[in-house]
Amino acid sequence: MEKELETIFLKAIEANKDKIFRFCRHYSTDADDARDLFQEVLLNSWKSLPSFKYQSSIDTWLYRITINICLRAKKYSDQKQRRFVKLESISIENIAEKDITEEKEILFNRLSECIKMLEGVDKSIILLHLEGLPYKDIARISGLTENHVAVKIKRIKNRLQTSLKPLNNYGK
Amino acid sequence: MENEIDSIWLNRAKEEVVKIDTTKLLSELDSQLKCFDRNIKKRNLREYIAAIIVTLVFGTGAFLIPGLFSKIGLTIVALYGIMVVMVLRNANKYKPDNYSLPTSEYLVKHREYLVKERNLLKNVIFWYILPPFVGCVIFIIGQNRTFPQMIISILIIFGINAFIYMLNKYAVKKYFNPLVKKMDEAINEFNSTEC
Repeated sequence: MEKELETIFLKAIEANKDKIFRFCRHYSTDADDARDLFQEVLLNSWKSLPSFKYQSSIDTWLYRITINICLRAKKYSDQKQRRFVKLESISIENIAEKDITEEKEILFNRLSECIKMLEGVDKSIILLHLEGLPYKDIARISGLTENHVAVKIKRIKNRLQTSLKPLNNYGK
Repeated sequence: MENEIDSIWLNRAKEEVVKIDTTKLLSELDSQLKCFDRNIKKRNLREYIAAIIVTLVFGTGAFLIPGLFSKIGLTIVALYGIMVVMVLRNANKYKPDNYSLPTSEYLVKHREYLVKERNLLKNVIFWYILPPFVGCVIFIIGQNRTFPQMIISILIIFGINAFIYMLNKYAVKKYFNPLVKKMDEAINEFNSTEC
């Protein structure tokens, strides 16, 4: 495999690893499951790397693989499919460096739960948005038009807002 | 109002951070892929060996055992061994392993694959059950057994095949129908502008 492509791959993984892991976290039941899913994403990205054609940015390409793997995993979750990937070069650490109030933390946990409850595709679109990807990139990843993405995000946010309302009022 | 969601998302206290030892990662990924490839090759080899055994055993039988009906019956079963492997190989071609497709395309391809797999099980009677059943029945007829013996033998083979058929029907109902339904829901949800 080309050395240049390997370097691009490693850089893309390094730049997006935490976002991809958060993605996997929202498609998983627990931390171990998320780790398995993350490893599966890495393995499949590596496997698909020779077919990467530079038609889109490697980040977009990586997110496409992440979403498709996560959606596939969700579809087969009932079958308790066993995952075989075990990569020792990966470790997950918990850090708590931000000075955040308890109220905000409760809100974040609730939001995270609400996102987990969304249907697979809506979940992927809102996660891409919250991770800071512009509509144009989300459209490229999903295959939807930018307008369609914008409408979806607006409506998903409204739904999330409605779900969070009781907590928001409680906090005030 | 909408930005509240973004702000809640950004103001998270705990962060899970992924640490990757990049010097080890690529070699680990390589060895994992090689391991998967080896497993696939082993599985393929097992399928080929099973097909070769069936074809050789029944083909030799067709050559050695006298009687036209026996020869026809055994030849059908010998050919069936090859056919099963070909059908399964063909079905595997549609496996959606290109994960770098846009989500909308990937979902459609995955659905196509599931429907093909489901149809394979739905039509199991034509490509998996009937050929060996017919072959066996013709073979039994050619064996000049007494009528009750012939009926008992055919009933036993029928029972086994009926059981295989029921197992496949169950798999379609329990496994494939819910998966295709889930996939349809995902595609509809994806294309709809309503949430």
